[in-house]
Amino acid sequence: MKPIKSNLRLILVNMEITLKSLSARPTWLIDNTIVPLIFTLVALFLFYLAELDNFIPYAVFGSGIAGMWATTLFGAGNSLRVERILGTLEYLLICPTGLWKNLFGRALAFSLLGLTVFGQALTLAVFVFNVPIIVSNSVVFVVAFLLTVVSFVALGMLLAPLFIIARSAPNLMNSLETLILVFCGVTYPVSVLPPLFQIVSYTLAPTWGMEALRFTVSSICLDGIVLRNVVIIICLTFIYLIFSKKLVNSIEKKVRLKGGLVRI
Amino acid sequence: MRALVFEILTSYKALFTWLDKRTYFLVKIVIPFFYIAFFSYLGKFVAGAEGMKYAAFGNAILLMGLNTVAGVVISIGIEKTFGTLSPLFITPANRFRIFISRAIFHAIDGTFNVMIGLVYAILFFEVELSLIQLGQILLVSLLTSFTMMGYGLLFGSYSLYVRDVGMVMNAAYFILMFICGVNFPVESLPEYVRVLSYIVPLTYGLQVARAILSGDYITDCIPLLIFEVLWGCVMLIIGYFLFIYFENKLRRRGTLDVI
Repeated sequence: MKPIKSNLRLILVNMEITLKSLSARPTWLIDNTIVPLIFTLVALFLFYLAELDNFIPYAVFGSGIAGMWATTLFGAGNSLRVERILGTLEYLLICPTGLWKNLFGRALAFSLLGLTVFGQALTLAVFVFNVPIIVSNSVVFVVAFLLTVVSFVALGMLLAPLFIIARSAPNLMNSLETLILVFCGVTYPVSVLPPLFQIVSYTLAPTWGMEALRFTVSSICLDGIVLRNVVIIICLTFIYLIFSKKLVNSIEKKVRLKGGLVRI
Repeated sequence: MRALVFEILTSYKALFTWLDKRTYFLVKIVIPFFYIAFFSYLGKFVAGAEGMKYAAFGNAILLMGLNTVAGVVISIGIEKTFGTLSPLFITPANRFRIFISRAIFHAIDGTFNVMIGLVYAILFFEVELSLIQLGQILLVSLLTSFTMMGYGLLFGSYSLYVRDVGMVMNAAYFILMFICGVNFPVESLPEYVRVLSYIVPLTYGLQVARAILSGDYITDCIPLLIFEVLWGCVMLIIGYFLFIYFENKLRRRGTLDVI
């Protein structure tokens, strides 16, 4: 019980410090929401022009989640890049609490900020495109939404080791951002993708999360399918978190042996 | 002339971080594919195969902006981050030469990006182009790259003044996705947004490229191309004077290296 409490406390403290350090530079939020906002506008406008019925599940939820992912990935990735530039990455590594908990706290902090981007998408949809947001089952929506956010955080944690060793983090962030958005089918169903891509899509937890979110605006009773999706998301999220911990520990060891951490 | 060529090549290679081959591969080959794929599949879901082709072609042409906008803004604005703005401004070197050398190779390289994008569009997203059409579109892309230089230099000059180059770069590049007819026709935008569309030279270049795609020849679009070139020159001149203005402002304030 004690280790769980202390680990949880560590993660929450990291989250708090990350959020406080961001408040020292409030323009960060504007900087990191410009690109997601434009993606949101393009998606919303495309659906608006096509006058499709599925505006909310795909355009609104999809573009909001896409923006949230972009904010989480760029925020967490950039924080490691800044540590590297400032020369504090090594101190992070030698900290006895372990790098993984530190990264997880940061990823949670940035995903929290990413929720503001989701809020932007909802605001644009309601006030600019005059689309009422009606959810048939709000409890299921909240559960599916939270699980989708956590699955993105877990996926981000799986990719985090790359930012520790990559010299060109911004370019890596750009490629990973759109790669995940393409495969997870955030603004379109996975069936639109070629069959080979679909196989990859179904190994990603956010794909199932997005599907569950879309069911919450459906008037048909799909509780069994939503439950199936929830179970798959939880299982995949746990797998990502376990693998990410092993990867971070392995990279930590290699980096200490090679001594090549700080190369800008 | 030799100094200018050396300056052009050095600023491209050093300031756009092309020293690392993996970075080059990521930015040139990997990222463009996923950007095109995202909007193409979105276009496919919204408007079928025609929607996919429209988005794939538009985003392939937009790739020139990676160099002429993002690249140029970084090449100018990153001097502040590196702390080399003061040494740059105390040199007696011709300001116009410094200004242009940051952009000129990006304009050529931007066309190379478009070529890669069009290959993806043809191979994966059902865009059909004959060799003659491809040649004409690449010519239009080269011209549009040069006209977009002015747009990039305009924002690059502004990036000297602000703290965050990345924000300026992202805003300058990604807004083109919305206003230039990349994913949907410019005519479908509200009138007050269309005003912005017609300020950007890429809107005209893309119109010409789409006309060639639908069967016209480049010679049929010469008036539009002439207007685009003239407008690009106007933006270049405005960008240059903005560069001088911000240089003088930063010198007076003593905030050349404040980040």
